[in-house]
Amino acid sequence: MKYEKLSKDNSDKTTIMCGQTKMTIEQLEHEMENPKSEVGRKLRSVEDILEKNY
Amino acid sequence: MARSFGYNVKILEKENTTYDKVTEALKKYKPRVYIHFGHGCKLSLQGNQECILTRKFNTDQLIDMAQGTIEEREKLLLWLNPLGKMSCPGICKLDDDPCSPLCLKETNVGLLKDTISIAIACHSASQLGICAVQMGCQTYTGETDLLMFPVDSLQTQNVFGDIQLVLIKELLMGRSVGEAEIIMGLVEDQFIRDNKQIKYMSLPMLWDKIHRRILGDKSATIYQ
Repeated sequence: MKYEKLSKDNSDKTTIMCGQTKMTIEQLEHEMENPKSEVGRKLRSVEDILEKNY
Repeated sequence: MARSFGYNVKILEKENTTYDKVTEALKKYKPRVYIHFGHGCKLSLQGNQECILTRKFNTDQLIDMAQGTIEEREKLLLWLNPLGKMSCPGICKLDDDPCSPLCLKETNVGLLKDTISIAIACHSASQLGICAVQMGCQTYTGETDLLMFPVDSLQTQNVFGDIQLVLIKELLMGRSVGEAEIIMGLVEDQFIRDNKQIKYMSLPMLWDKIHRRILGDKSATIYQ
């Protein structure tokens, strides 16, 4: 899926709380690109839903 | 917000979010609604330094779970430590065993009996919420996975927080848990559509929506 931008604010001013873990945009992008990442796999699945249903 | 609607509200926060104080408060006040804002694992909700609501496995149950094939044991390890390398930094006093079922605290999730419980926290609806309902909690609403939201200089986290409050507000206004959750879902859907082109706005909101569960009686209202 294509996006206009990764975050509402500048990426370097944005973190994503994943539970108690702070992830940078870069780290999450890496997780999503990593086929062995469980959270990446789940995020890609959510992305599919986003693309199809919204 | 609840007080403005005329409800009696007891708040435990910061250093008062201990197992003992939460247990005592639940026994003393027998709340109709229990709301947790904080951290959670599959088998517990966490306070400042320790688990405050928990379902503890005994030794026999743990041994039963650990038996079987290597694949079953690996599944168990994943189940016990779902976050893998993203594990909690160790809120509980057992710093090396985050989200461990070997918590020293006794099971107290049964104190949610007859409550409408809402956990704005990670993971708890995957196991703890199920236990709560089995032990008499009327409705348990929570997440079955991580709770995700962005934090930035534009205070986007507050927008996510406000949307989480929609369910609570609708419940306080007299709707059933199921009705309140539907209304919250509509608000989430609008946010997702409005922010579809911003990856880490739409994805976390949709993630949270997908992983939310209402366990138990969806028709529950505060006043029956």
